[in-house]
Amino acid sequence: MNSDISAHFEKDFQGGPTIAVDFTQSTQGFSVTALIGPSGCGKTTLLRSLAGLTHPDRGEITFRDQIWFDCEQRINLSPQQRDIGFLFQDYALFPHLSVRENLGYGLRKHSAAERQRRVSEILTLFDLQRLERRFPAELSGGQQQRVALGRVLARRPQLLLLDEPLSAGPQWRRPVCWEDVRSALLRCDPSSFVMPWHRACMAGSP
Amino acid sequence: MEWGAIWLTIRLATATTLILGIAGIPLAYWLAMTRWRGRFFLETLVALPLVLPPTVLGYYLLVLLGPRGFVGGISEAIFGARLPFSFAGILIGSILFNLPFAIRPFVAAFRAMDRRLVEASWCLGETQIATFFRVTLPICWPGILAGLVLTFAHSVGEFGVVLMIGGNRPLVTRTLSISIYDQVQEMRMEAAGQTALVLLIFSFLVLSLTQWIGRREVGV
Repeated sequence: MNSDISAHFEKDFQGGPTIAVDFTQSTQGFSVTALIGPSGCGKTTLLRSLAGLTHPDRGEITFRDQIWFDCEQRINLSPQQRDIGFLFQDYALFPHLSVRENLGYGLRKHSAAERQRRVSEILTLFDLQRLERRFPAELSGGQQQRVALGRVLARRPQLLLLDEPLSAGPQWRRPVCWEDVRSALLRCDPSSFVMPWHRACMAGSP
Repeated sequence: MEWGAIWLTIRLATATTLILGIAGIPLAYWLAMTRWRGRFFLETLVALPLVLPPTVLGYYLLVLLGPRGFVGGISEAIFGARLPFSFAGILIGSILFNLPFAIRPFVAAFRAMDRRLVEASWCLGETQIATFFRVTLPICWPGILAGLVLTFAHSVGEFGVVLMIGGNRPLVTRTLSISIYDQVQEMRMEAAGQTALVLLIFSFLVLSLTQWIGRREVGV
């Protein structure tokens, strides 16, 4: 049983550089990987390619024993097929849905009871009970971040991808947010995480 | 008051709006999302009725829909129905002429939406079609509604294309705007004035409605 994530690919950007990625990481047990580098070096490209949102031009991506992308065999699993969670930098909360509806969005295929149970669990875990009827526009930045993370974790993905989760929001908030994220991740225990950080953000993190 | 003309106009505008809504939303969504280079050609085609004289579109439609035209020939062979000077004929003209009034607001609404919301939905396991109905449509509805209202209003007021293709047959192709023309020709100024007032009030109300929708959109 192969327990690695491996991504070896190239992506051409029109009128821009070619991003070449050569990435292997074990995902045994609970692992967190941080991608660090200046902007433009390909952190987001790697994450989006792992999620299936960007299609590389050459190469392959495998996750454990699954082939997610293979240019030569013409395999390209959609984001829906990859069982991932993706936390967008600006959270991408659905503005027309309440906090509760946002958290339950990805659970449509579960029974109503299971959906209810998981949403309540997330509401408690992230201290969002009193906000469940609010809409994203009525939340602070930190609250939005917790909803976005909770929405992703409610599905219990096998791979969690965080796109610069701590670079939004004012500097002084970051350590607090990071604590939220870390404690939630430890309690939810998905098997693997990949996240990039701005170098600047590292300085502000514990 | 010509109730027959009012009824005909409402039928024409409703059918035009419904068809453009059903066919236009997928087309507009595709136009808004595609990276295909040839889309400029299609966008130009859609926008053409904005600048084209209605008589020009009417002329080509007459040629195309007539018994010797491509579409007209097929229609007569299959349905045995002649398109020029019929309700079906003016409906086709009305749909084509109203294309920009429906498609352009739809496209603008779809383009204005944050694409990451769609991607977020995919990453949460939703299919593309379910994403469209759960995220895209609820967020874009003010723009779509504005397009539908504009289409309805504009097809009520359509004159040139309808006259070219439909002629002026009472209860079949004589819409309100054509009956004004008729009434003026016959020197029945009072009747023309009444019809004109009805259309003026209607247009004012419809535009107020779209302004109101637009303001709500900004408010959200």
